Amino acid sequence: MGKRKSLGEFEQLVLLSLLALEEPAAYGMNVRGLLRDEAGRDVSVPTVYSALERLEAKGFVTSHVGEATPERGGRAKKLFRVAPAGASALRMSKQTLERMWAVAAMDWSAS
Amino acid sequence: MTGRREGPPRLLETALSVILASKSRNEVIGDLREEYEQRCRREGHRKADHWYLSETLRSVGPSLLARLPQGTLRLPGRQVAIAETTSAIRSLRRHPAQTATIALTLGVGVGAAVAVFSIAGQLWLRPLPGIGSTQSVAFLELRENGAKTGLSGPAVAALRSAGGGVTGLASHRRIALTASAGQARPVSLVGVSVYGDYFEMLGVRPHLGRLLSAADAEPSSDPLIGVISEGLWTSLFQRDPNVVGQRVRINGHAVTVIGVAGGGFVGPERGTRVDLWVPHPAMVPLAGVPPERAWSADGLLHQEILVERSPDISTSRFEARLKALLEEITGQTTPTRSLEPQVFPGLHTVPRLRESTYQTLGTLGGMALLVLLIACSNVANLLLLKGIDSRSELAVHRAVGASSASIVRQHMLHSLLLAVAGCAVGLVVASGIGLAFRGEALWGLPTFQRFSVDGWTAVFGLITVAVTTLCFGGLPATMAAGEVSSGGLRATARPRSFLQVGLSALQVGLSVVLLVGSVLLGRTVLNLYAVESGVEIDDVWAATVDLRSLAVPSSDHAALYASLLAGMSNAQGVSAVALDTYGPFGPQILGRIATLDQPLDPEDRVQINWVSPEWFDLLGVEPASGRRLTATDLEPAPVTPVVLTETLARRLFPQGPAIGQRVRVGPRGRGDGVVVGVTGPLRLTDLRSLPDEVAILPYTSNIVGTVTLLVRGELDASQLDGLLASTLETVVPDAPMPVPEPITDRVNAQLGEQRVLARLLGILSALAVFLACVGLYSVVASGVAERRHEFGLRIALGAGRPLIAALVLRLAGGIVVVGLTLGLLASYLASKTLERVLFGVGPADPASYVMALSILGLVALGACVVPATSAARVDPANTLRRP
Repeated sequence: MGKRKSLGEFEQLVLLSLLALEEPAAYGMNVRGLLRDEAGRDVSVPTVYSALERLEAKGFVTSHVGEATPERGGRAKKLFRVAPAGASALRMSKQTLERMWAVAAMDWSAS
Repeated sequence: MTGRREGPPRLLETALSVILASKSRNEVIGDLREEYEQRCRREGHRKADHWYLSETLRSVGPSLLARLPQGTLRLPGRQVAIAETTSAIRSLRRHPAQTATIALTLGVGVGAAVAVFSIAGQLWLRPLPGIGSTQSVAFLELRENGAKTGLSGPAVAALRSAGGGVTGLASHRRIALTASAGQARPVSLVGVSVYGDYFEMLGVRPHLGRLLSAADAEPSSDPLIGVISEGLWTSLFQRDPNVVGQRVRINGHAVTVIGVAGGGFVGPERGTRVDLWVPHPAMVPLAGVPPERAWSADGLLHQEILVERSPDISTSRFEARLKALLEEITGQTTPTRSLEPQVFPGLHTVPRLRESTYQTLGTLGGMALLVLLIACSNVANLLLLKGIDSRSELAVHRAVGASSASIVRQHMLHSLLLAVAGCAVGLVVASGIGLAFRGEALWGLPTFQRFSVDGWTAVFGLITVAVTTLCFGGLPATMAAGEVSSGGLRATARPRSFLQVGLSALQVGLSVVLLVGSVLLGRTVLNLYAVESGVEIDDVWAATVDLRSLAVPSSDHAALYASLLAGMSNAQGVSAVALDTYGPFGPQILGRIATLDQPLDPEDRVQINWVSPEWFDLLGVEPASGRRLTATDLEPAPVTPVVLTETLARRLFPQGPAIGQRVRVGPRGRGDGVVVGVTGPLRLTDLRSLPDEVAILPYTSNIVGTVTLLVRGELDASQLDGLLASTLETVVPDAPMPVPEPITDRVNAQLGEQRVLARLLGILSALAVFLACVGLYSVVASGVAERRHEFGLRIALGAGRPLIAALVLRLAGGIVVVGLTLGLLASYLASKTLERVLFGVGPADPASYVMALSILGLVALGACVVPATSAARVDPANTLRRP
């Protein structure tokens, strides 16, 4: 049996950012902005892209090339979307965390 | 049109495109550009540019890490680590010539930098012995109308107790002393009278007994006590543990030793050595200062002052406070004084030497960094070539199952091993350069005796070469590992030609800078030694006899001097002896001279030498007109005969001949004189300056307590010591033994800075030229290796061998021409920093540039002859048989 692909904390934050952003806005720069404003994680653009590439390699996100704009110096955007496998991994991570929190809460009340 | 460029700074964008991994390069640059435009609209271009710069810097780390294959930075198991290390060592041993060249190149660069910084550190920056923590102690210089001045006794006492951030104050003043203990012959000493919290502020600890305290310098305390240095304790007392309480005769007075200064303390000024410290009131008995002048407001001025400030005040605020305090203090005594205090924090160099020291340090540091830069760019080139060569090896490793992480780790290890080997060679090179400077002295600084590598410099060198080897060895291997994994066995070697050619041209250019500097300084030294001083100083020694401490009436001094002269002139091995005030290139005595119809100007000072008639013969000085001094001129006369140098005669008597003219001359210009002769131009103080204005008088016209014997003869120091000792024994048995010094040593000390810089720059430029040639050779040789097949084909098709050699030389010639052009421009800018030390040659001297360019051009093209010959000898049949 193959090892189940797990999600790190930063990867979860990136996936959540992609879910929060609308389709034409789901690319590196906006993901970074959301991480900085909402999660307090000020990371560099290459860090965001290396996480996105990792997620893509795991099959958790898909990407396609968007339009090229003059304000990007004629470079095209790479737009990302959360794949069903990514959504399910995210859901599983959330459930795992909730279960663990519940156990931890029981322990606390007992002590 | 605003002329404003579009988009972010181009240089940064280009840098990003080089740094970023190829996979998401476009997206990252696009995103950054989009955000940059938004920020420009929101915050303006300036802030947006700053933001872009910080984003570029932030991108470096993640991008480099992203390039490493997964698992590279994870520590392997013990077995794997041993296997990888062994493989890296084996790889180095497989190419011994290449490994040796890289290690040697690194070693030369690191060695030069380590040697220069270690020498500079030892000469200028090493903490002075025996001094404790002195973070807040500084030299205080006082200036009035631009001239250096000092504070009177009452003023310095008032400043010491004024508070206002001054937590300690001390002053010191040098006095020449003669000491004798027991039956030993008296010795000349450097003494210092101290006032205030001297030892306490400097954190000096006693080795024996106690040190002088502030209370000892009060007018009411016993002045005849002293603290001796460990050196004097050794030479005069043979390290007697019971020295405290013993008495030593200093300038004829019995001074009680109260302690020995610990830690080898010899004073707070680099380049000077103090043997004895006495309290300030000792100036009265030991230096003969009248008691009323020792402490009064119009008496002795305290010029060499050390202050300690409270640590919470900055230097500039402290200076402002001092100015206010001084206005308050001096306003009470002398209302007209307006003193400008200047604080020099740190005790590493005395204020008067700081500016030149910093400039010299800057020049030396720049030179060493240039050589290091050349070496690093050379190694970068060699490693890039090596990386290309080892691609097929990498591919084999990959094919037999090595992971990318393992391959990259091995290459990084390989680079680090090279760095360590380079540093080891560097230490040897540094020690060699250090040895070449033994015994050199720079003006006002201690003689450089023993070379030891400075630890921090060595660490800096190691880090620099490690970064270089990793950047140009490990990282290209990393990139190659990625490419090799996708079918690298088929990959053909294609050199990163632009980078290599650029690096090689850079090396040539930097070498030009060093070589031009070296030629300029070499010519400076030659010019200085070619300066006509007007005196013949070879084989001439100077020995100053000091009779001030003896109970000999001054009326007897003239007779004693004459006896000394007679005693020495009969000695074996001595060809001539003369008397002088201090001798050429020694200390000078300034006095005044004026014609009878001119008023004496107190600011107009000229050098006066009081000499015996033999002085002219001994130094080969012939009067251009008139006569020299003779024996009859030594007789007392109402009008003193005077010989002037040409420069002085022309200034005093511009209208006509000086001979026979009457002058007022002497220390204060009060004596009557008549000009009897005029010499040619003489330089008796500084070879680098214009000919001196000197008045030469018979020594009998101004008898003082010291006289200098000038001795010409083929003698060594010990022979002269023996002669002096036996002559003194017969003439003045109690006189302290003088230390004879060759006049050429005085000249060498004067030219020390130029000599040291010229020699260092000479060594560094030779190393740089060598490195540049190695670099050029490696680039051209690899180009030849790569085009071997092409050359074979050309020869097979009928191309002549000279044509093939010319093809190779054209490649080399291009690199050399670009390098020389770059170097020429850089040299012009860099040589301005040498302007201060140049003599007789300007920083833009065309001949020096042509010489440097020709040397480098010829040597560099010479380095290409071997690969060109090898290309011309390609055997077409052999080459074309290979695929």
